[in-house]
Amino acid sequence: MTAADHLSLEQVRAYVRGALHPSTLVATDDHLEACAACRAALARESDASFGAEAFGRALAAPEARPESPHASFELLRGAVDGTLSSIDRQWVEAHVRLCMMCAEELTDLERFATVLPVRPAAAAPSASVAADAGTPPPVSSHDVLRPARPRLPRLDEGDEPPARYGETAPPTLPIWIKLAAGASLVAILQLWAC
Amino acid sequence: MAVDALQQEWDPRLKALIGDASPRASERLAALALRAIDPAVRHATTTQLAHLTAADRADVATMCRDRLTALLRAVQKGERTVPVADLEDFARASAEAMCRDYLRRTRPALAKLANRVRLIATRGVGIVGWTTPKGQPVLGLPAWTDQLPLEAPFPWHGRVKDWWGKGHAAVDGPALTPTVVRVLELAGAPVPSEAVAAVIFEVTGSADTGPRVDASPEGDEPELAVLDAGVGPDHLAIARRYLERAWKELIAMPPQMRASLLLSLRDHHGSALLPVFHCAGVTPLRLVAEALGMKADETAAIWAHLPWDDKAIGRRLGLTGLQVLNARTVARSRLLKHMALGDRE
Repeated sequence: MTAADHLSLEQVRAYVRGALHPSTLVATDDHLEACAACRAALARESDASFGAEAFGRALAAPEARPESPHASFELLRGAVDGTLSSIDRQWVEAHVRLCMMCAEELTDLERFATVLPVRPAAAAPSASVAADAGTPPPVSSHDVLRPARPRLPRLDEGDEPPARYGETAPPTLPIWIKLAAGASLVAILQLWAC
Repeated sequence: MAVDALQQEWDPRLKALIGDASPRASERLAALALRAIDPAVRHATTTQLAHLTAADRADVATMCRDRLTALLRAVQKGERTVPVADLEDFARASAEAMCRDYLRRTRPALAKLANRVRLIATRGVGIVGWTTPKGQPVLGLPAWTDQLPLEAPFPWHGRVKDWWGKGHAAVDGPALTPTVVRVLELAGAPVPSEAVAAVIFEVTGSADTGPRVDASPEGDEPELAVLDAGVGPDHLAIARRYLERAWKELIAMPPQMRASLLLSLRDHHGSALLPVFHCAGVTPLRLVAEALGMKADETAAIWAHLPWDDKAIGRRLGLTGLQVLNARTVARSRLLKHMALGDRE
């Protein structure tokens, strides 16, 4: 179709009604892009004010949604751990700017997270164990709300026996103090033997 | 692609209500509220708010019923454009969400404690959290994940001090982890996370700080952006400028947010509104396709099947239905705000 072959009125009307076959829709649209006369015909046939008002009303109409409009624990946790997908992160960021309740809960969780080990739990033995304990999906570094904090040592790691939850592990001395104490003891024993 | 896979239909009972202002329609609406909404609200308030007084539960139930009945009226007036496919499912999910939000709003300190308790279970400290088939988050020891959780009335009901004994308990800081462990060990079975938080709250004699304001983006949208072009001689030019500005804002949005909004846009008759932009000469189809991350041919092929429902959009974008809904909510809110700012400038 060239600019010289103008669209018929029926074609313009079919375009406005969305009744054109997909194979002709793109060609018709390309023609409209190039042909001022057909664009003028289109403007006469399509009431932009009707479309614009409908668009504005649709935009402003609240949606019927059964889900809570607030951030779930899973989303707040993902924000704290930096494991949210890009789309969820955008939503949480936008939501907490407007919602004091979720903003307060997020701040509280971020603060509390600093007293916990960072590494998420390994998968629990049952397949029924879901989101709470599961290892979050890997995300790229630009995909997170903030960089993940460095992993803290787990309570049950290392040479020392594990402390029970909340119990303070017995204090351990640095190796150089132990060596120095040993050397001092040997020296004292040698002096005593002499 | 099949049309059925892309478009969610209205629940036939709601569809019959749309635009019907007759007295008979009002009777049908009242009957629907009685049959579909009341049982859902009763179930949600009984299961989720068991620890509240009967008077508080009745208040929440009234609030849930009022909101859901208002939704039915809005559907009747044609003010809701996104179809509700199953009224019972919708009422149940809505009522449960309203109960949860009510607790978060009226008991903020307890809500924060419940979050902290659930966060502990994600940290590999010997407590695990999972969600039951009923959607209830529970906590337990790793060996308990196949056991059923305790249900109300819980073993500590009415005798919490005796049940707890002399052990130390804390609602925050490093001491919260051993407190949760002790609750679980005493209970001897998985416990709903809300109940764990509630018993720790009670054991420590904590008090809440009073209700918070429910400020969600849903109620915060400016209406300035809704166009009223009037019928003056330049109303077409005003409308076109409005759509051009809207398109410019849409193009500036992150792609998934933009697509979530554009593919679902519909008027109150359910007709797609995306074609408005190229029919008004604001942008050619090729650029609409580009904005959707599609080829022009592909866009032309789906044109007659718009608007899509959230599941179909989610399949296209690799998102869940809820992510699509949330992305669209942010997109609408952002567009309305930017358009309103433009109106003031």
